[in-house]
Amino acid sequence: MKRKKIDHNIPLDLVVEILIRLPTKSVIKFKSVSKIWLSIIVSRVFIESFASISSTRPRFLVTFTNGIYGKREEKRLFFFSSSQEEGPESAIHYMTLPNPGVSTNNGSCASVHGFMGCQISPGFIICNPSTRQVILLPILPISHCVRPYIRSTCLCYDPVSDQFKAFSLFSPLQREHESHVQHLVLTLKGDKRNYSWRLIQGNFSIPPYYPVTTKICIRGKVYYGAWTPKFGMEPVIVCFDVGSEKLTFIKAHRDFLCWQYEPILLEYKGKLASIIKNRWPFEVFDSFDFWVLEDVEKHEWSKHICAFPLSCWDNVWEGALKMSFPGTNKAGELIIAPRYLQRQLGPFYIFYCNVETNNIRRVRLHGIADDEEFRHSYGFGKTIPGFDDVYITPEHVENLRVL
Amino acid sequence: MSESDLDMMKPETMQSYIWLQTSDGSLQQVEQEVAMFCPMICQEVIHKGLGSSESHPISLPQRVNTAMFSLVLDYCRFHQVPGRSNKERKSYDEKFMRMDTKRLCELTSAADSLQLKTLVDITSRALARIIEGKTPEEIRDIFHLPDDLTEEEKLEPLKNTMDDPRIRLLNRLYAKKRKELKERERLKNVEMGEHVDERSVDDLLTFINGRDPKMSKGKKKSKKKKDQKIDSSNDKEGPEDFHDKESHDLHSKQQGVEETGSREREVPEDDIFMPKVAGSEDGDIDDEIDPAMKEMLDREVEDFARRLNSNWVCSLGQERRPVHFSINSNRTTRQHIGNDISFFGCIIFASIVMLRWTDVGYGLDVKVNLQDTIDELQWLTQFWLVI
Repeated sequence: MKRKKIDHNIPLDLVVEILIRLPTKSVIKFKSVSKIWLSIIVSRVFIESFASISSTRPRFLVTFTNGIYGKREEKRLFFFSSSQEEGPESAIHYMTLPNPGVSTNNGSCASVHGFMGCQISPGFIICNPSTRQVILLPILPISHCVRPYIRSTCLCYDPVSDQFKAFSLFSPLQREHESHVQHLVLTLKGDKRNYSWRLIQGNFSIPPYYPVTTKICIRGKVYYGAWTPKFGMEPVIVCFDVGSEKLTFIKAHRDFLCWQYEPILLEYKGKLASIIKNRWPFEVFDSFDFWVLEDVEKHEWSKHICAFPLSCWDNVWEGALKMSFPGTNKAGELIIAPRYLQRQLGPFYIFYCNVETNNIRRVRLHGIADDEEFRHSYGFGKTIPGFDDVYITPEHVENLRVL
Repeated sequence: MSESDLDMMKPETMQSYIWLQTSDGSLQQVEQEVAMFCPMICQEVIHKGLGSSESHPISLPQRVNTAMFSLVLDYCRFHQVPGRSNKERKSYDEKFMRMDTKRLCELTSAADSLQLKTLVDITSRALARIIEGKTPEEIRDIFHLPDDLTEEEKLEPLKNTMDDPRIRLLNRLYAKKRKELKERERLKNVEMGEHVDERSVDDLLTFINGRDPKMSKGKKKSKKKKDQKIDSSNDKEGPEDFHDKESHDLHSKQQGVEETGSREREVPEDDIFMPKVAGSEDGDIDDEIDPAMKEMLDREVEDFARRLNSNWVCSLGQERRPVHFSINSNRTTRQHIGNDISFFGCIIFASIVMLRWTDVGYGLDVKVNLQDTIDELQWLTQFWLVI
């Protein structure tokens, strides 16, 4: 049969079928094949379908720094991810941000629909490990808030309008007086040079409160714990709807806010949940209270108490015992992960806790700074412990979108 | 007409056949169950009543030639039998997919035009696996695509990564280096794959860092150039660096002061708003542990206090005692700073202090006031630098 070039061309919709089944790196690479392929890959439809396929097989993203302070050139922020399919035990290198200056005080470096927002003093950075795009947001404007104040920012996503926004709070540090919080939003749309922060509408009609915990974005709403009207009075969870930019308050239990700055809010099967460990954060714990917000309108919480044997903490380095609860996996198991990397070479463990059966299992994740050469070349373990933070996103979606 | 046709197709007529004509004209007679596995054929039969006789065959779409059609039929023949287990089906599919790329492409086209979704799925997956590791050139070869992108556009994925021009330069260097490495790989035929690339990037980074430490310092915003320089000056330990440029002095002193301040308060996890010059979180860390650093910072603060004191006093007269500097030192040595920039800076500082003095009255500790005024200065100097 004579070879006719036209006949052997694959029609475009089939190219889409093939591209959708490729891993992210390949897709990015194939942007430079031809004009047609480029237009397919950057088209909104393709990006959306790619992201939805990726959310059915999300990746487990681990972000950590090499904990160096002082010498900025040597600082790195590593992103490693592991796929549930390829065997959850081994993480592959994803991306490295050189010289990030990530503020290690801040506990939030979570991925929202494929994009990660990290607090880097003095600004906020948004990066996408899939496309390797990094955006530095403009500095927050000076606020006329009562001095001194706390300022915190997080990245949030509204699935309805498919928009990413950065949400920032200015709240006074002092606790004695009632204080109004300033809420600023920056919509990541359009030309980056025109990004600007704006106050949300009706900012001053919001009753005074004192925000305490770090924020979490679940399904188009940002949640964080606070006291209202001032510190120590009524505990609430503040819920910020990203689309409509409105705030509501949800009644909460006092215990949620007792370890103020611990990030204890997480997502459990699409709902907001909270963990209360009844011990000092650094201690080994064998039980915790697990609250789930069952009904958002009626402010109903359900409580489970989970207990498990202390033996599961065997062979875990003491310094790694400060644990965080980054979220849940597809099977509904809670993930318990260490906050800091080990000083010495050693295995990295993730714990999966099944709330219903009170069962806890430990999985070793290979590839997280457990290679001697890697540690040596990037200067791990040279610093005081507690600065090679680890941030985990259990359900990271690969989003090819370029903002 | 369709009614009677449907009657004809009832299971009583056991081995009924459907007539189909492929794109290259050949007539085929296919068992009904097998052919009906394809949704497109199914539709043609039911809605248009074709295929029941030799004179009215269903003409298959252009992409379905005889060879492809026979492959499709094989597939349908296997899968339409209900009694097969999943394992069987999977292994059949795997064996079925073993053909060269060209035929796979044709098969995918054919399956798509016959609307056979399952076949499209497995062929696409097989194709995806094949092209996954290939270079764009090879892809163009396989799919006969024109090389119509400019060099600029090809580097686009890399360009998007960082906004800082230095990082862009770095990326371009990486890209060049990667190309070189790939060439070398092809020549040497070494089986390292992607791992080499990763390493090379890191190597490059260290290489570039080692050669030119200035390249990777600092923040990504060009607006913050001054702060970036301050970063570098702050990093180096030892007070000699603080005599670099007077203006840098000013900023780094602020840092020193603010860091002392932050240490005194509990540091919550959220960012306390202090004029966080880029390197200042380092300072936070230092504050929490390192006593040597603490001493150095104390010294900086004293220094700063002294300088500002002297400048301020000599520029404005004695209206206000610089009370807020008393935290660290009582010394008020009149150092004359002959530099215009710092002088100007001090004037601004002083004016702010005067303006804001009334605001500062919460009964908070003195250090807080200082930071207060410092952040004003910071903001103003940003502004001023832009001008």
